[in-house]
Amino acid sequence: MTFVDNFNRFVLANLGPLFSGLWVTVYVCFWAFLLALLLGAVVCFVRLRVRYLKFVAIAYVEFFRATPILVQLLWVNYVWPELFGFPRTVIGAGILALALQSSGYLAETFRAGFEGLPKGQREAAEAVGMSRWRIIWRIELPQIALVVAPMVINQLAVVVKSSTLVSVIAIADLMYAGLKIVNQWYEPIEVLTTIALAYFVLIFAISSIANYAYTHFQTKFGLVTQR
Amino acid sequence: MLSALRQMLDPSLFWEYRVVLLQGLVQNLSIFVESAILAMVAATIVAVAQLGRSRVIKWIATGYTELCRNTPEYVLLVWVYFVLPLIISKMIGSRFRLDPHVAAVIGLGVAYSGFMAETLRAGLRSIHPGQAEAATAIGDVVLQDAATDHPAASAAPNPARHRQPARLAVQIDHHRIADHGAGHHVPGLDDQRRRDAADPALYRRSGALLHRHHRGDASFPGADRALAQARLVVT
Amino acid sequence: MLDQAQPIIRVTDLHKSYADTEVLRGISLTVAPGAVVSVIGASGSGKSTFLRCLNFLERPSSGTIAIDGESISIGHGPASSARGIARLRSKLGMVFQQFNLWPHMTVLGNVTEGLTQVKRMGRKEAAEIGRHFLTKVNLLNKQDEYPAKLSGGQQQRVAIARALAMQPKVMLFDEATSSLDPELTIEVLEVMRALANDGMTMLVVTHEMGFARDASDRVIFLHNGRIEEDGSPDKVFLAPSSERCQKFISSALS
Repeated sequence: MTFVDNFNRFVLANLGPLFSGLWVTVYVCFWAFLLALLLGAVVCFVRLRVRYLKFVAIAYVEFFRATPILVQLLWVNYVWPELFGFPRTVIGAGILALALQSSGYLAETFRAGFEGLPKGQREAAEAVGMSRWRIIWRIELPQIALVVAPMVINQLAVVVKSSTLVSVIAIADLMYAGLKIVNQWYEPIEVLTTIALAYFVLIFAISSIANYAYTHFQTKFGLVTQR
Repeated sequence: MLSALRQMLDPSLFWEYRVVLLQGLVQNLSIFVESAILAMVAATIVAVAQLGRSRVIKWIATGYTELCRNTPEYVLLVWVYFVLPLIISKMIGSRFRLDPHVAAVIGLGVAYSGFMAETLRAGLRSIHPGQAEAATAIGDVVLQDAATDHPAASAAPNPARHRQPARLAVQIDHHRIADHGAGHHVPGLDDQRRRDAADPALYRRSGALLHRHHRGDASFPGADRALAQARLVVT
Repeated sequence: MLDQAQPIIRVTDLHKSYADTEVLRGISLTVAPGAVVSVIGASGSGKSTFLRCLNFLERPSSGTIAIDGESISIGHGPASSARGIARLRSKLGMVFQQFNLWPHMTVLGNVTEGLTQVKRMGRKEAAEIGRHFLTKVNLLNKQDEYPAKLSGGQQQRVAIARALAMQPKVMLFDEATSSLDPELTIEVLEVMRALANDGMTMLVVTHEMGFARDASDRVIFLHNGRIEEDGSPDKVFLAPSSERCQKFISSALS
């Protein structure tokens, strides 16, 4: 059986399930990333501004950065419903676990952005007479956003890569759909290669955007940023 | 919630299943060590390949790195375990099977070699090019001396070789004076050093002069000062 | 001599301490409108701290500050009122050693930011004023560039235009040329001299002895947080009464 034959038999014939798997992947990654941004911002704020909860924030970040994503997925999916009563669905568990993991990295990224901002920026704004909130909104946040953008976009790529593991807790994502086909027909070459390519294209696109942001922002604004 | 916690957190379970858990841990550790070694070896090869001269090799190396960094590790693992044996069996004609442990080591090693290659490449690129220049200069001088040390050459001693150190000293001096002459601020030694270090030719000559000195070959008027300058540039 | 109106800056017995070190030990100063005052001294003498206390970028520990007749209270405990500080800052324009231009805005954006955000001007009006001051510093052609594309001297001139656009009564220069290469220092000093000729009151902390000697009306030598020498450039440079000042000047000019 040639490659093209097999491709037609296993990939093209199953495009339906594969695409719905892709949709689930996109859905899970989107919500997980959004939640991660929110959680990361909150934790970063607590770490920098709320004196008494500083250690809680540090512990949170260290914990979620040190534990593997698979362990977190299983933990959130099987243990949390017993302990906290939520999440009630596997999709919720997948989104939550991915978000928790990324929020640790994002909190650190935001913190590096805040602390890397030169003090003189704020002073120049104060000398001109701007009020505190205006300085934060018009001077500090825009610069921090530009500086952390490449790393944040990279983190989206990481979320997509980690999302491949949610098939383990029975979320019907792209990987799950592919493995199901492989288990049915046991002709893995074409299906798995196609899925690998699909993930590659998606993640490569995201990384390229991050790279573009990195070089573009550096030349245009002269901001020192990290990849 | 607390009652559920007390129900769930039964530490005696850990003790009961200690053998199984420890076996699993040993598996994890062995896979980790083996794949780490594989990743470092592969990364070194790829990073060095990217420094080479052949454009094709550089292209392949970059392609490999991008492939490894942009494919999810889980997908790579599954692919190595399921697809690779089939491809190899089709090539060698007979049935080929991959032990799960080996598949894991290969999959993880390849996956992380991409990241490591990037790190190594950044590290290699951050080494100042002047250092390589100085090394070549010293290498040049060594080869040159080796040639003239040859018994056949000593019959007709090369006077130019003895003039070399003094000439180097003058050239080094010229560079520093040229910089001063441009009217640059010389606020501190650090700035001057930085400027000197940025000039590869100066680096090269300083390296060569120091090598001469090591061989006991650099005695000429003004040698001390020239050597001091050369040391400042190269360190 | 025409009797001057009340001094535009009146500082009495200003003290500033950080933890256990006292940086300013009782500075008293009056500056007439239109005067160009250079402040010189060794590093650590408190020159920058003094300047920054004037617009409350550093909080003084005690003393009084009055700008253009309006004084502000300096308390030990409760902070001076935010409104008082804002009024103070509206009369002072500051130019920093590190320029501190906002990199995510264009040159024109930098200059008009204070006008639109603090003075609540409309964009068109602010842009007109911004362009006027950019022309004054010879950088109108760069109005749509981002600061990263400008040289150090150009950035500092934009910073001067930004401060001028707020139309302050006094311009404060905190070592404005110290981080510039000599070729670029010249263009900034030219702008400063032109500003002085226009009659702006300027307080210039500087290492540029040429400017202090030729372009200023008055030179103040600070040492260890106290004014040790205060007089016309001729007096301070040629016949200083304090020995430390003499030593400083001779080492600075060599």
